[in-house]
Amino acid sequence: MHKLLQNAPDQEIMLLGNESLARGAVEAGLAFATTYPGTPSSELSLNLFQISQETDLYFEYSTNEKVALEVAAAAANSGLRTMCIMKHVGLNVAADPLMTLAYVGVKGGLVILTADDPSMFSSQNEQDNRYYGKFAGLPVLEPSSVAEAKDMAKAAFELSETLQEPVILRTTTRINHSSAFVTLGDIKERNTKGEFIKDPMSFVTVPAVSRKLHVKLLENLDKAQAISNRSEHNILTGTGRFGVICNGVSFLYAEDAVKDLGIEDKVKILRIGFSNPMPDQMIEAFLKDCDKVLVIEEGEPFMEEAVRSIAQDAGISVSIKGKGDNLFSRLYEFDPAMVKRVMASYFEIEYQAKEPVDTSNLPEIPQRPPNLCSGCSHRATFYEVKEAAKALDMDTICPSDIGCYTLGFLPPLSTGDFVLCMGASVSSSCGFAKATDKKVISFIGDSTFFHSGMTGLANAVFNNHNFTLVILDNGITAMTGHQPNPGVDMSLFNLEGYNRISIENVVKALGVEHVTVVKPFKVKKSVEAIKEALAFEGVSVIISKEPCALHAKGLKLLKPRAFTVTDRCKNHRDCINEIACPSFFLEDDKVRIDATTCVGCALCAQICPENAIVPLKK
Amino acid sequence: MDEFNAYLIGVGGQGIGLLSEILIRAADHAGLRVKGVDTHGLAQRGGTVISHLRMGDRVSSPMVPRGKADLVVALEQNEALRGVNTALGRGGVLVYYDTVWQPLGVRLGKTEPVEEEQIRELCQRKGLRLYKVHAPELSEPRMQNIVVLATVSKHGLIPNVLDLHYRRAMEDLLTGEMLTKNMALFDLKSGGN
Repeated sequence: MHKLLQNAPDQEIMLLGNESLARGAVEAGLAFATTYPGTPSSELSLNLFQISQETDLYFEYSTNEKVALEVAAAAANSGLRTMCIMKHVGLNVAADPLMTLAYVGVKGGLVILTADDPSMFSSQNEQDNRYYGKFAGLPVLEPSSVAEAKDMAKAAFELSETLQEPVILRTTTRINHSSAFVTLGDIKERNTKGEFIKDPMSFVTVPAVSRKLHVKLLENLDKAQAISNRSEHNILTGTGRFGVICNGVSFLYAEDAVKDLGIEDKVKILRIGFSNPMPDQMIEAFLKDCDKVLVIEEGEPFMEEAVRSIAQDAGISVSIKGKGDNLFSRLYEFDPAMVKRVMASYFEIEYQAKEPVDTSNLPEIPQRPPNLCSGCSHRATFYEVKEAAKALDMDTICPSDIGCYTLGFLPPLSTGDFVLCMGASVSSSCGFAKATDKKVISFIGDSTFFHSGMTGLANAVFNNHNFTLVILDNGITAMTGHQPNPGVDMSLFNLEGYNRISIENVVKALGVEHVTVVKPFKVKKSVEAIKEALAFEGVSVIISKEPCALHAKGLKLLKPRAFTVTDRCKNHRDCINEIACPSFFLEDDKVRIDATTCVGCALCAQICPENAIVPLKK
Repeated sequence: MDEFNAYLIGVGGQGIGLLSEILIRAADHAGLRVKGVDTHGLAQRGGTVISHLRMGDRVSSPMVPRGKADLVVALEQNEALRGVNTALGRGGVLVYYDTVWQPLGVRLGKTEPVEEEQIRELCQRKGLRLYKVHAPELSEPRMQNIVVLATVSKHGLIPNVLDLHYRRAMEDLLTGEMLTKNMALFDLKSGGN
């Protein structure tokens, strides 16, 4: 049995934040869940996927976040408790249904989990999704700890049903990826049988209906504000005339700082867990009781702006600070030591920080960015595209997309000139091809192609653009941890009841006239095929098809067979300088191959001018 | 215990995740309040991977404040220096596994690798105790984390967490041949049992 299904109330178990959120949903009687995978939310979806294989919970990996939210909206309006899971930028994709779903509302509880990524550990921006709550007019809940994540997930379903509105549950990376002990609660029985009661005047958002629905939404926001004002998620702790208003992980940093600085009798903390609408009366009362207030929140000054406006309304002139010089930044995640320093300085608390050790003469420590794995087929494809473009003497622009292959922009492959968001490789190619006279070659993965690459490709064919799209089809959504997508062979997971869509057929059906499938580890043949595609006038597509090595190894479909560098090596270093597989290392100024990580893709063996790289004899 | 901070650092693929989970469970078996936070996602593809682990009754956040670690465990030489530089202030312990995964810049001949001497020198300046661990006979580099774990246990580097707690944690997380192999290695290197 899945560990999150155990019916053991009051038992304490160690959970990852994402597991805790999943358990909260299970305890709430979650019946229906949809997602598009994205770090830092991925393990939450993975756990629900596993649980759905043991229970009657319906779970799906949807093709993108917009689809996921639309599927979820129907389930919730059929009365089912539903969760829709995505990373922060996923909510941009789902923003269209979100804004109007707020008007329509829900019948069964709908919790939209959005996982923000301050510092951008695995993301292209660090937008603050609390503003989506304000934008759409929906309640926002934010936990501060792993244990609270479970309780809040559970409470979010109740809140959603009370208000008949979706609830945004907003986490940050350090909540999703923390581990701590969590006390299990009762599991509510799942109701998986939905019923949709037709009511066009509530569900069909033509202008006449929407005008009424907007009135209803604003009334619901008033109700939400009243709930926020008495919410158990807004917690007041400590005593003193200095006030801290904080949320999420910042609450823990503030608590640590108060203890470290020994100012338990000087500081009181208002921890906001229900952050949209903000609890205005609670904040007003808090401000009246303070000589000085500090707002501690990662990201944007979301609470700070609200607190100032509440103070202004109430005629309170207490000093309120948050973002600003020598205080907190809008950039990146916080370091607890920094939070302590700012609190000490703002509240004028003396504390003796230990004299730091002078490390000014320390040489720069080499950066270690992530890179494509040993045996990754993307490395071969990037190399071949570069070779083909070189052979045709083409000056190129290479838009890329979101996935492991974004890492192709790093030297020495250096392929990737423009990355915006999921699907943008294809559409931005249209723009670059028209606006410049360069040859445009763009890259997109299989999952991203289904997510939002297809529409861009339809646009390209319709408007008769001129570029080559390379679809890197490794048969899985790799970067987020090997999730399925519509092109995946689900029998790999021993799962039945799915269909599989051929990318080649989709591309042809969209009207692309030049479509070639290559096997990237056959270097010469691939380069020739790519040259033809590059020379084609119009939209051409290369599908580079090879399973993700990491995934294939995990499934035991790939048996690594290491290669080695023989004495024939004359130290040209094409291998390291052109493709830089992580299995290469330098020893006594010679290239060597780490036999424990080499999987034997033989890419390097094919480009070595001396044929010096050969399979290692056992 | 009031507070003990451990900071684990290595390269994606080296097994920091398992090591962190063993330590967190061992601390729990020892009756300590413990929490932690790991790196997931893109960085796991060969990037620097970090786990924070905090124990003790007065600890709220799982993040080790910069410069406030008591123990840094590193699975690689370059990352050892990075860990000492980021997480340790004055005093404390560094345990590192003596292996090198050359960063891209080093392999391309664009940056200088970290030398062992730099680690020694920085440890000396910060007044740190240093344990360098190496087991050249290992056939499976993914088990280097267990050699490091055995060192942590053998020298009692996390207060109150004892040999038996580490063993129990391994039993919680590993099964079958994996458990047998790793436990045998732990026995050998911790000098226990």
